[in-house]
Amino acid sequence: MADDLAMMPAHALARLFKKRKASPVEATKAALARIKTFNPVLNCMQHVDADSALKQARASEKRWSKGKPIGPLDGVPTTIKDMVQTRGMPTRMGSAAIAADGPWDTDAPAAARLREAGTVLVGKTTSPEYGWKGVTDSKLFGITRNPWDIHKTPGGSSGGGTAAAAVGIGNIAIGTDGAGSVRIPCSFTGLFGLKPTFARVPLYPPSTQGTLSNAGPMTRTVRDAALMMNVIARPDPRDWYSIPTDDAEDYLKGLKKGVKGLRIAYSPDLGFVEKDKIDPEVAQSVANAAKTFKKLGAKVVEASPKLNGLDPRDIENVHWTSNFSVLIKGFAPEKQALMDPGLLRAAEHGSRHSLEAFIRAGHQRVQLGVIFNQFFQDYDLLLTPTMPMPAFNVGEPAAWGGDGLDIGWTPFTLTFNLTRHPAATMPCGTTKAGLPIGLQIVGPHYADARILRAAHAFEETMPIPPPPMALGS
Amino acid sequence: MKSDLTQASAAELSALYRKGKASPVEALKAILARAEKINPTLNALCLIDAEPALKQAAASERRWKNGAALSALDGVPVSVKELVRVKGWPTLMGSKAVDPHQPWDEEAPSVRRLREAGAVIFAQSTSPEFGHKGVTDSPLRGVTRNPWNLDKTSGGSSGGAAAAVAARLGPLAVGTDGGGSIRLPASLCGIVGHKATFGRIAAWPPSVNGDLSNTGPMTRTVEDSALMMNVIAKADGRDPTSLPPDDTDYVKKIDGKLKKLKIGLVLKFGDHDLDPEVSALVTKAAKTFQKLGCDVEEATPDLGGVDGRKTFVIHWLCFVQRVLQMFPSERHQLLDPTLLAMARDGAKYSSADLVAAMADRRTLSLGWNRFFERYDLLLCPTVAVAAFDTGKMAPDQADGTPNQRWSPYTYHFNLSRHPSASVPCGLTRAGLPVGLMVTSGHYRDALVLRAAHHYQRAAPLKMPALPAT
Repeated sequence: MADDLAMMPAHALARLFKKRKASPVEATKAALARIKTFNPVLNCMQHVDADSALKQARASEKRWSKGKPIGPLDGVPTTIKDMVQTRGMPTRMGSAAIAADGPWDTDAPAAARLREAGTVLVGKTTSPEYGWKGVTDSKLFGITRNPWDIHKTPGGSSGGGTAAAAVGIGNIAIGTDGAGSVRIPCSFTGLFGLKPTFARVPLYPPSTQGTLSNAGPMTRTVRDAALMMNVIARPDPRDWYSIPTDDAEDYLKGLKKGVKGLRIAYSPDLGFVEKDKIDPEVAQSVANAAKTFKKLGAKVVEASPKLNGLDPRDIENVHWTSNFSVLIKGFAPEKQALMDPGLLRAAEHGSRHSLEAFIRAGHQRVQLGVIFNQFFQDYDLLLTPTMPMPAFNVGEPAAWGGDGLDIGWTPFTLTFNLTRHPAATMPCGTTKAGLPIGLQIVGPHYADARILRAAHAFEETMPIPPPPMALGS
Repeated sequence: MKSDLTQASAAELSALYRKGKASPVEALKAILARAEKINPTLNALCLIDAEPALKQAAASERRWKNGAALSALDGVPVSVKELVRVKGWPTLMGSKAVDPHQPWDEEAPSVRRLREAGAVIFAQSTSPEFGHKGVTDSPLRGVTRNPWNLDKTSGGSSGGAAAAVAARLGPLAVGTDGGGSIRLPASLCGIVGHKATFGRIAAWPPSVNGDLSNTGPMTRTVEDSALMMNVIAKADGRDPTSLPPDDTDYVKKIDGKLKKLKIGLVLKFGDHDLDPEVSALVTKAAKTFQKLGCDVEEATPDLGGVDGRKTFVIHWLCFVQRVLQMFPSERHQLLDPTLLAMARDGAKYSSADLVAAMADRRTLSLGWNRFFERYDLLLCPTVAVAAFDTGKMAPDQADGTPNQRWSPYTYHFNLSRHPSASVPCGLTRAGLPVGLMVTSGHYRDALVLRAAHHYQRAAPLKMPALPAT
């Protein structure tokens, strides 16, 4: 029983807590037990604080027993990515150049909101250094592995969080996404993940990646992501981008309304991704998912925006390598020596962009945003593959044999970091080799709730399966 | 006997139309007649499109007669800065380098909203080339003058708009503000200008100045700015940085209570000169807020040690250098020499300089966010000086060299994206207007306008017939 609690959706845990059929302490113990079982294999936890977790759980248990829980996430074991500052736990950005001593006295907005909501913060999950790549390994923690196949990467940069959530280390997880870092690992490990509309979930301290960066939920059910959004999508004065204070959307409202009548564009290539680069099994699963939406009553048409020669990959590459070049300058040479050579190469590459190239990339980013905004005047949602490929072998810095300097191998996700549109990934099948495939669902700005609603409708036709490893087989 | 309709605010015009005491055609004709007389001297309007405007006014007149007015701004004349697109008008950006032979068939969101609301779009106002400086002159248009004193600049870059509104060439103008270009000329010309929270008012096409740039209202009364906000503060599919739509009724909100607001007064933003007359008028304005029931104290923002001016200048010059790529080099000689010099300075920066400035921008903005956690409003001067002589980019210091830090306030809130308005707070002994800047936390545009409205009612600036002769 206790072990089942680890794999239970957060929304189901709350029901058990309410009926006194389970307690936050039991749930936390289940998560801690799973850390013992799986972390040695997966290497997904940067930091675990069992004592603190149990203390938080006992406090939550008291609230539930008095019939006064803070909310539906009270007592739910939660993990937080190593890029999100958390009071009392080291946040090392996956970097050996960041000392472990702290002081760790700040909660980033998402951590603060989750703590206020009574969740049990179990530990911090691994990330590549400063989230610089789409796989999860670092000089600091080594290689994080995919629970569906431990020879594969869980993706990145929130790969620690997704590996953990997939096997029940925490019922919900927080990741960050600057080019796809929530959606890539959720796709590779078969989870739901949402990159909200830019600034809907506040960030602090400001990210190296500026307006490309977002924090978002990574969960095993869509409803759990909605519950998390109700907590974390609240303004915080420390984020000078965070959107209006009257933004108090209830993400559960309308979650079950379905997709009937919605105008949905299905774009297998987003208008720029070379067809031969898309794995046929991925393409087929996503095409099938589009058909499912048709059956559910949506008006699905195949359509792609015309990008007028813009290539989102080129635009993103200039932005993120430039940003890293400035980040690295903040470290003394002896600290730089501790850093991932790949990150240093990316930064060096970034320092070579001319001002003209950088500003041009900024303007192209805006043009791209305008194109997608106009596209969304005709469509309520857009479906694409999340990734062109399923998870690949650990030890590679990028797919297709890339060196990591070009993040063009995740073309579908990075486009919406540039345009700031909300985008989620939803598991839509597995390959013959048994690896999960992700469907990306994108919406107009601020239509985060509509994306959750569509994903929920799809989930009812195809519930998210756990990796066999998590079932203890 | 009808009163002089050029004197009326938009709200007053609207009331007269409703009661049938004046018509949109009469109002427009009065303004056109006045423009014919004084615009050649002021050089505030570079295009007056009388015939189509009279047609719009006549259509509006019929709507008012039929009780079918489209909005409170139906039939109210409005001018549009030449950086903002109006269908059918060449939008030359004050530049000889821009090809006038283009279709000019699409309209900026703000203009489209005003047209939908029935406003009469009658004239285009001058701007320095691409709005690159804080005074208004260009090789294409010549010098725009300040109606309070024709030897003085009207400020910039929305200097044409500010001069027109002050001289009663239309009660409303659309301006743009990338570093202070609405508030600065509003201050120098004794009118009201509001730079909204970034994204609140949609814009298109995307500005060269990226997310420093804002479109906004310029009016003689705060109430008129609120009326314009009700129309133009809308999202538009063409602007990917639009904020989620909210249905704030700014007119309704400006009357709300002012009492017990916590206000921080900051007279200086660092190491720069402040004209003692400006300082005294702004301090006096702060006392007025105290009398209005607010809790005012002198405050010091903690901006994390960031040099705001340097941060802004790097952003600005890097954006401006883009004109070098927009035009083939043989056309560069057509550009304003001051623009060309700025662009060449900008081209000397590296991308790393800009990315580092962007990081500084985040730190500075965070500092202001924290300030607005403590204070509902910030009061400060809009500009450190009153209007200075035309033909200069900056006023002279005592030693005769240019004072490069004459406008150290406005750009902070382009960097930080906070809503910020300028409202007149008095005249210098030489009879030149001074502006008080009212700024608040993100999305609190209605509060900014409410505070400015209460202040303007408590301390109205008596406007003489302008231009002064």
